[in-house]
Amino acid sequence: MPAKIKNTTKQFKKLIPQIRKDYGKTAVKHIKRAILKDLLAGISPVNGQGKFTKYSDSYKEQIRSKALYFTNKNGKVVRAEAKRGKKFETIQKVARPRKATSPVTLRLTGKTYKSLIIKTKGSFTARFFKLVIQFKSNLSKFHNKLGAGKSKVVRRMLPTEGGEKFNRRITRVMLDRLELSVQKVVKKFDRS
Amino acid sequence: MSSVDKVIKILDLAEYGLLDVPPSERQAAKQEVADFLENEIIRYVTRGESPVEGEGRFQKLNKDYAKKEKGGNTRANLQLEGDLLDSLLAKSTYGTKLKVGHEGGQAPKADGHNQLSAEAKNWANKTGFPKRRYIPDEDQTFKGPILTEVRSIIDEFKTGTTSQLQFEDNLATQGTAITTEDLLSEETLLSLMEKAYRDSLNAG
Repeated sequence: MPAKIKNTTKQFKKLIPQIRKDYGKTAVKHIKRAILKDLLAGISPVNGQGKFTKYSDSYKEQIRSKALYFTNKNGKVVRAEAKRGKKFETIQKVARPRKATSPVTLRLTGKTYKSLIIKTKGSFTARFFKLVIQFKSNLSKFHNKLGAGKSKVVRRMLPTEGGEKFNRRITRVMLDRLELSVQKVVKKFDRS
Repeated sequence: MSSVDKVIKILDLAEYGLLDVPPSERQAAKQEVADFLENEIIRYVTRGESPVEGEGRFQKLNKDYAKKEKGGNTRANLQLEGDLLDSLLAKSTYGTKLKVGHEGGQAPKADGHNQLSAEAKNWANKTGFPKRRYIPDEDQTFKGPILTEVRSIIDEFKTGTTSQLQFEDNLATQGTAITTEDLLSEETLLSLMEKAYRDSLNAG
């Protein structure tokens, strides 16, 4: 290793907190945007998953209708299907849903999207430092793992299964933003 | 409209360096490129833009049609029921080749938009149906940034530097959460800093 670089390793270690801080401040909004953009295009953020499965015909009918109704069933909030003679307790009504039947965006009121938080966690000087990505809305659990609707359709929102990673575009954003944070800090170091 | 049974573009990844990838990794490289291409075409089309070099934004929808079917949004994203893009595929085929496009039931519709066959072109001339191309013709290719990323994917497989940035399920009590320690670890950051410093020294 060239002497100039070998001597800098110790000094570089002191710069690590700056990079982590910068990344936490500047990169997370870009990562968030990349994830939400893919969801809005009907693409899974998880590598290899591709396009989301289409909505069921019955759900498409409801989207086209004047309103979507949600009711309480065994303690869970589920979409209610209006059937002749069948009464249900309406706990939420979304009038004239501004939602297209395609692409599959998993977005109705925007609550799940708004629940996306990305943050860094841990001591800036520790050897390991975490990046946390979370959809706080419990609806994400149904889409991502348990399956939504009667057919229990899974539409992967985050790479939660072993060995999974984000798709190419989102990974590219994460890594490019990291390079930018590193370059910013190393540039200052170079000048000093 | 059209009676074709497929609308396909064949890409030869040998032109992007696939033969320099170790044989045991070529299939994985092809799959990664296929996944990327399929997603990227959808991203472009969703924004109402062609991913094909030389083609621009899609002509906007007729206002009356947009009002009736798309809530007034005149952006042409080729999605009404989702059947067309749902049938879009990008997959590995023989040797170093990859095929992208449609086969079967949605092919005539795809041809109507892409207007690759003579039949579709004649029909479009008669009806005035606008061309909204997202599958390159034989003498066309995808846009530069898309091909740059294709090369980048293959380069990573060549050098064995494919990103292994993996996440773990945080088993959150609320919602769904994942974490990674790889991205911002001391090891990763030191390696990136040394590379950035080396590059700046070489740059002068």
